[in-house]
Parts: sequence; C-alpha cells; structure tokens
Amino acid sequence: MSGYAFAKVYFGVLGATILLFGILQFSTGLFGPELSAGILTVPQDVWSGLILFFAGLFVIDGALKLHDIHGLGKAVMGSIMLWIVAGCDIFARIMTPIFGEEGWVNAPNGFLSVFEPPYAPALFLLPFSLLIVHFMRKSG
Amino acid sequence: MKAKARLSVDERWELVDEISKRVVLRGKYKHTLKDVLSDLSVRPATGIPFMIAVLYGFWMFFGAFAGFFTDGLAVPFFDDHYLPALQGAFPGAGPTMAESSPLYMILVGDPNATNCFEAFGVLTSALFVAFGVVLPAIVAFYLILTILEDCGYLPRLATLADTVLHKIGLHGFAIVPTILSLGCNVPAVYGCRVLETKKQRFMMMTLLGVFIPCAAQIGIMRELIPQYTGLILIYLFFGFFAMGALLNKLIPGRSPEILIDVPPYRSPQRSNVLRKLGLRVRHFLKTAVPFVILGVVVVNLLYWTGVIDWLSRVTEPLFVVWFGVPAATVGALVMAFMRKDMAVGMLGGLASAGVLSTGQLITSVVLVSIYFPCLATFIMIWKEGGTRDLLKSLGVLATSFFVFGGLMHAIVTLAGV
Repeated sequence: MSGYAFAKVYFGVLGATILLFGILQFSTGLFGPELSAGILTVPQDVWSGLILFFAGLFVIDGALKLHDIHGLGKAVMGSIMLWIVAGCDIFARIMTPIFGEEGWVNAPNGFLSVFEPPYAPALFLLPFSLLIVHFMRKSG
Repeated sequence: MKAKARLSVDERWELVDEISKRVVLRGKYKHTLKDVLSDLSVRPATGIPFMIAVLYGFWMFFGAFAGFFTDGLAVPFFDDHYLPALQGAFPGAGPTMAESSPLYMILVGDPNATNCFEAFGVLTSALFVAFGVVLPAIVAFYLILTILEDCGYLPRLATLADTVLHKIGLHGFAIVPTILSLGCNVPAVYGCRVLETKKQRFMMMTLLGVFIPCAAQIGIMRELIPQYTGLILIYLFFGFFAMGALLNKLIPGRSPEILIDVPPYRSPQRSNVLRKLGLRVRHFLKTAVPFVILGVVVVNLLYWTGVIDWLSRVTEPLFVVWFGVPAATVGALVMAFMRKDMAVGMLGGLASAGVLSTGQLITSVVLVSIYFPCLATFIMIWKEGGTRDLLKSLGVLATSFFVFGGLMHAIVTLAGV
C-alpha cells in the first residue's frame, strides 16, 4: 500500500470519526444531557459540535483526493478547525485551575485534577490529526 | 538618455520585449497550500464553517483569558483584601451610605458593600471595573484581533461578509469597524472612514454606536450573566441587521460595490503583534479610565443631590410599564452615558441587592447596550459626522431604544425568565 493510499484510508476514517462526534456533540448540545463513557465525555456545546461536523466533512472530502493540493488543502482546513476546538479546551484547562476556590493559587493536586479524564472528543482526535503536518511539509 | 529618445514606438516595444525575455521567468504556476487555504477561506461553502470556527476560538480564548485574570486574581484581591481594608481605614464611614461623609461616598461608596461591584466608589468600583474586569477583556480581545489582522484573515472575513452586508446597504469592509467596535466603539467610528459614501458612513457609525457592545461591556456581561450573554449578543446583532435594512431603505445615497485586495496568509510577527497590542491597550487606558472615574463621581453627585431620585420618579411609568424594569435602572442609564461597562456593573449591584430579577437584569443590560453610546463615542460621532448626523443618530437611537427594549421585555416575559 503506497503512502497516499494509506493516508486516504487513514484520513477517511479520521474524518468519519470527527463527523460522527460532531453530530453527537451537536445533538447533545441541542437536546440531551452531557454523555460520558469511561474517559470520554461529549459536552453540551452546539457550536463546537457544528464545527466538528464541518471539520469531519472537510477531512473526508480532502482524504478522497489527498495527492492533489486542493484535496490536501481541504483536509488541512478541517484539521485546523479540529485544532481550534481542541486548543480552546486545552487553554481553558490550563487557565482554570491555577487559581483555586480557597486561595489565589491552587494546591498542586487541585491543579492537576483538572487535567484528569474525562476528555472531550476533540482532545482525543487531536493527536491523530497531527499526521496531516507531514503531508503539509511534503507539499512544500 | 538622448539615444533612447530617438527610438520609435515600435523600437521601444521591441526593447521592452527584449528586456522582459531576459528578466521574466515563464512557467506554469503551481498552487501552493497557502493559495488553496486562501481560496477555501473566501468560498462560502468552506469559508463560513471556517469563520464559525475562528470566531468560536476568538470567543473561547476571550472568556478563558479574561476569566483567568478577573475571577482568579482581581475578584479575590479586590473583594477579600482591598475593599475591607479601605472600608476600615478610610475616614467618614457611617452606618449607611447616606450617613457617610460625601467624600467617603464618592471615593469608597457603600460602607456595607461586600464586593466591589456593589460599593460604587471611585477607589472601589471604578478601579475594580477598569483594571480588574475591563483591562483583561481588552487585552484578550486585541491580542486575537491583532493576530487575525496580521495573518491576513480579516480581509477574507470582509470578502465573506460582503454578500450579507450588501443586503443592508454596506459592503464587506464594514466588517472591520464592526469587529473593531466589539473592542472599543471609539476607534471603530474612526474606522468607518474605509466606507466610501456618506450614507454608508452614517449608517455604520449609528449601527455600531447603538447595537455593538464593546469588549469592556461584554466582559462585564460575562461576569454578571454568563448564561445569557450569547443570547443578548445574538439579539443585538439581529437589531443591527433589522435597523440596518430599515436605514438602507430610508436614507438616500449610494452603496457602491468594492474590490477588496486580499493579501496572502502570513505568520504574524511577535514584535508587531506586541507593538500593536501595546498601542491599543494604552489608547484604552487613556480614553476609558478617566471616563470610568468621572462617571462614578457624576453619578454619585447626582444621587447625593437627589437628581437621580427625581429622574427615577418622572420616568417610572415608562420604565415599569413599557420595559418592565424598576425605576432604579435610571441611575445605570445616566452612568451609561459615561461608560457602558460601568453601567452594566451598576446593574449587577442592583441585581445582587435583589432590586432586579434575572429577567429584568437581561432587559436592563439590553437597554444599556442600545442606549446612547458612551461619551467618548458620542464625541467621536459628532467629530466624524457633524451635528446633523449626530441628531439623526439620536433619532435612530430613540426608536431602537423603545422598539428593541420593549421587544426584549416581551421576550423575557413570554419565556418566563
């Protein structure tokens, strides 16, 4: 299997997963309570659900013609959208626990507890999407 | 030079061809990834979802950054340490605000206040609002705005917004003052110069003065009613477009097409970002902080002399019947003329004291938002548009205030908030 053929399958599956979580997160935001299963939680957030939905579509569409710069561009755009949602989550996790409820600076265990699971889908999918950077570099 | 002057037109063209053959490299242009991303971000099918993602990131960063400094640092410092120390040390405190000395009332405010929102003194509320709440919001807003500006996303946003804004007689570049206005209305009014016709400039100045809340105000709204801030913003944007469409029909004048020069995407330079951020924050400190302090002094003096009580009595039927809010809101509206952020803070004090219910707080925040722009913006509109435009803006403002304020009262009542 050539590099591009593998990447097509890889990003196709990744895009479908992002799309699926997008639909789930969007529906949860509109109708239902927050869903949690093990270390995964689907937050009630319509906007990030909508963004993940479109990000998934773009990654799937880009994966179908990844060898072409236009297809790659679409996959990159979808990945950037995923990074924005995941980046906001990481930033909020970093900023929230520094100052604790009791005093100005949280105790170390209080600080670290915020980084414990459960995690939102965007955080799970973030490392898998980083493979796109390799193709970005390859395209020059 | 003389030798060149003797060449005929044909000879000159031949010379041009000869030079261009030597210096111009010809070949097939290969699209780069940057070109593709640039193209995708202005095409509606891909550009609009991407725009939603960018604005989502903008909003989330704004909330997390401002919340970190306000809730984590400023609130514990001002409420737990600074306010009790000042209330204890400052001479002239009485059992109530009315029984305290005038100087205490103006500088410290309510001697029984437990937080700086409620105290309403120059050294308490004014300092807390200016530096504890508004400054972090301003820094967060301008940091992201500058990065978007420097990486080249703003012209793409203008291209995307062009179709929508044309429906209300504006064009894509109107998105620049609109976004600037979300930071501070003063530079935004100045930014209306990018629009070509007088009609467009007047419309933009009026709409942003009436319907777009500044970062300072949004920061306070997030602090007081975080769960309703998004809905209030959507309501105000709805008002922006509804009133824009009406003004477009009523005001004579042209709304020409434009050509937008879209630069390539670039990585923002850290030194440029920091310099621009520094300039904008300094501008905020110079223009906003004196008005916050002046506003607190004026409102306290008006309370002390009984003017606010008189105004409240006179306007009570209108406020209670039409807007569904108590007459006590009048004080906040007087304050809003100086600084809207401080006025929203004042409403927060009334809500914590139990004078306003949640529904009334939402309506009051909308009233303060639509109510005439703060003094600095008022002066700027007068300077840019002249007395006639300012008077016309006042007409639009009065109409919007009654229509959208009354409508919000109806919505809140029907929703049972």
